[in-house]
Amino acid sequence: MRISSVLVVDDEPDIRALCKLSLERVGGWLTFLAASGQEALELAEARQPDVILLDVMMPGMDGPTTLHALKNRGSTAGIHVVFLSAKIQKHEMQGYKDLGAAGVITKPFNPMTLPRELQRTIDAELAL
Amino acid sequence: MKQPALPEDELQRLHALRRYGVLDSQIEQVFDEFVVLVAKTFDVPIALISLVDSERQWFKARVGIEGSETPREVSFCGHVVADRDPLIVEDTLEDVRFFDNPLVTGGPKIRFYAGAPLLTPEGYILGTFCVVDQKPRTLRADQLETLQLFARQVMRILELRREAALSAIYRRLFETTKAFVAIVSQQGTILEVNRVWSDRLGLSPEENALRGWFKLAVPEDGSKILQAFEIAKAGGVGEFELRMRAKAGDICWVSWHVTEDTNEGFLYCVGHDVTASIKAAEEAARVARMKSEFVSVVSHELRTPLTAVQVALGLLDGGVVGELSGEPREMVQIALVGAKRLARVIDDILDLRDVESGLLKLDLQDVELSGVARRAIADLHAEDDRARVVLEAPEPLWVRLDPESLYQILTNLLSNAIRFSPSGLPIGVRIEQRGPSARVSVSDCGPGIPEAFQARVFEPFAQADASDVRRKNGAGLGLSIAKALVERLEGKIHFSSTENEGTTFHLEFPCVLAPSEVLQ
Repeated sequence: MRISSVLVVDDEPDIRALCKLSLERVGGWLTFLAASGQEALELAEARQPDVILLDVMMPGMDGPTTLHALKNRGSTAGIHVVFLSAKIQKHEMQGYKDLGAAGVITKPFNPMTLPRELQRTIDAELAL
Repeated sequence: MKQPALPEDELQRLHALRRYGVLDSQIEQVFDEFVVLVAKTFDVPIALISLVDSERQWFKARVGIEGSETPREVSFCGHVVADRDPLIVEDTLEDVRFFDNPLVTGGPKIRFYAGAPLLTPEGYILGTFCVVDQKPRTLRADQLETLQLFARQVMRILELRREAALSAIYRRLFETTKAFVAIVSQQGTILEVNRVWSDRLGLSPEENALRGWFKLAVPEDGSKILQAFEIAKAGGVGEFELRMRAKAGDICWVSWHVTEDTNEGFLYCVGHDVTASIKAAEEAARVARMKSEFVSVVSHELRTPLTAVQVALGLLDGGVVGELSGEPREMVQIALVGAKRLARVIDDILDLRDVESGLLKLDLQDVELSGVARRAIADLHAEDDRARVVLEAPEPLWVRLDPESLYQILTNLLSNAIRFSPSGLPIGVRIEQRGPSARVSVSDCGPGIPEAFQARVFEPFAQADASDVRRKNGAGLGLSIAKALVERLEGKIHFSSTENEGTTFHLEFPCVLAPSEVLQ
C-alpha cells in the first residue's frame, strides 16, 4: 500500500505543524491534524486517512486509549496506527504492538526521513 | 594423709555451687541457729555448714571453731564430696587417712568427725553439714539420720532462696529489657506485659490486657497473630510483624516471635520495635520514586521543545522550506548537531535511571558474543566512517544475558574508545575464554586514563579533563550506563590503562553451553 494521507495527533501545536511540513513537502501526502484523542476519533471517521501518527503522552485521552477506541469502531478499525513516542524500551514496543499499533516512531524524529520511515513501518506490518 | 579426690562432675558441681550465690556471703542468723541447734543436739563442741569450693572449704555457719575456711586438701568434707556418702570417723588417730592431718595434729585437734552431704536436686554435693569433737565418739544410725535431716533442711533453704533470687532477676529482666514481652494464654488472652508496652503504646498493663491483641493491632494484621500462635502451638517459632496503635494515634511497627511453654501452656511473645527502620526504608523508597518521577518529567519537558527545535532545524537543513546555502546552512547544521547531542544526553540520563532503578526489563537469552559484537561494530562503522574496529573472536562463546543490554554496553565502550583514540589507529575487540568466564576486551591506543581519575571513571558525568576537546559526543554517562548494565547482568567490568599506550576495558560473564552442546 502506498500511503497518500496521514492524520497527525499531538497536543503540541509546534509538533503538529512540523509533522505537517515534513509529511506534505517531503512525503507529498495529504495531512490532517488533531490536537486530542477525541478530535482524532472524529477526524479519522470523517477523513479515513491511510495512517494515523499518534502521540503517546497526551492530557485527557492518551495514545493507547485513543488507539483502543479507534480499533473498537468499525469505521476506523482498519486504519494503520503508528505511535509517536519518547525513547522506549524493547518490551514497551511489544506492548504497543499488542495494543494493535503498527510500530513506533521515536521523538525527536528526522523530518527528512519521517515519511520513508512511516511507509517502511506500514510495509513491515502488511508483510506479516 | 589421704587427700580428698575430685569427683567426676567437679566442673558442673562448682558451677552449681556458684549459682546459689552463697560463697563468701554475709553471716545469716538462720544458718547460725542451725549449727548451734545441731551442736546441742549431738552434744559436740563444733558444728559446721561447709561448702567445698575449688581450692578450699568455706564455712557458711560455724560454732566452736576459729577461721572461716581451710584448704580443700586437708578437709574432711572434701571426702564426702568425692565419695558421695556420709563420712563417720570415730577416732582420727586410728584412721590412716587422717591420723597425720594438720587439723588432727594441730588445732582444732579433730578426733571425731561426722558429715552429711548437702545434696542439690540435680544431684551435686555442695559440701556437708558436719559435727566435730576433740575426743573419740561413735554415731548411731538414727543419729546419722538426724544429721542428714538437718543437711536436707539447709539445702531446702538454699534452694528456696535461689528460686526467689532467680525470679527477682527474671522479673527485672522482664521489666528492663527494651523488647516488648507478653505472656499469653492458649486462647490468646494477654496475661502479662512488660513496661515497654505502656512506655511505647501509652497504655497501662490493665488497659493492654483489656484491649487484647486485636484491638491493639491494625485490623488487617489480625490474621497474622492467629497464624503465628498456631505455629507456636505446633512447636515452631511463630513470627509476624504487627502494626500496633499507640495511644497517641501513631503506628508502631513491632516484629514478633512467639514460642510455646508446653509445661505451663503459655505462649511467650517477644517483639522488637522496628518502626524506625521501616520508616527509613519507606522514606528511601519515596525519595527514589520522587527522583525517578522527577527525571521522567524533566526529560519529557526537555524533549518536547527539543523535538520541535530538532525537527525544525532538520526541515531547514533539508531545504524543505526554501533552499539554504553558505553560512546560513552551516549555522543550521551546527545547531542541528547541538540539538542531537542534547537529545542523546537526555536519552543517557533516562537509560541510567532505568538501569539503576530496575525499570529496565531484561530479556535473558543464550547469546553468542561475537554476533552481538559484530552488530555493534557494523552500526558504529555505518555511523562514523573514520572508525576502525578490529574484532578477534577465535571461538564461539555463549553467555546468558540480555542481548540489547550487551549491545548497548559494547556501543558505549566502543564510542568511548573512538573518542580517545588518535584517528587512524584501530580499536581492538577481543573475545576469549578465561576459566569459566567469557571475556570481552575493548582496547584503544589513546593517552590512557590519568591515575588520579581512575577511581572516578564510572561515575556519572565524570570527565578526566573538563576542557577536553575529545568529549565531542558524550555527556560522561556512557561508562556509568555500561557499568550499571553489566552489574544488572551479573557480570564484571574493569579496566587496565597505561599512560601514552592506551586503555583496555574488560567485560566478564559466566559461560554457558552452546545450544548444540545442550542438545547433545
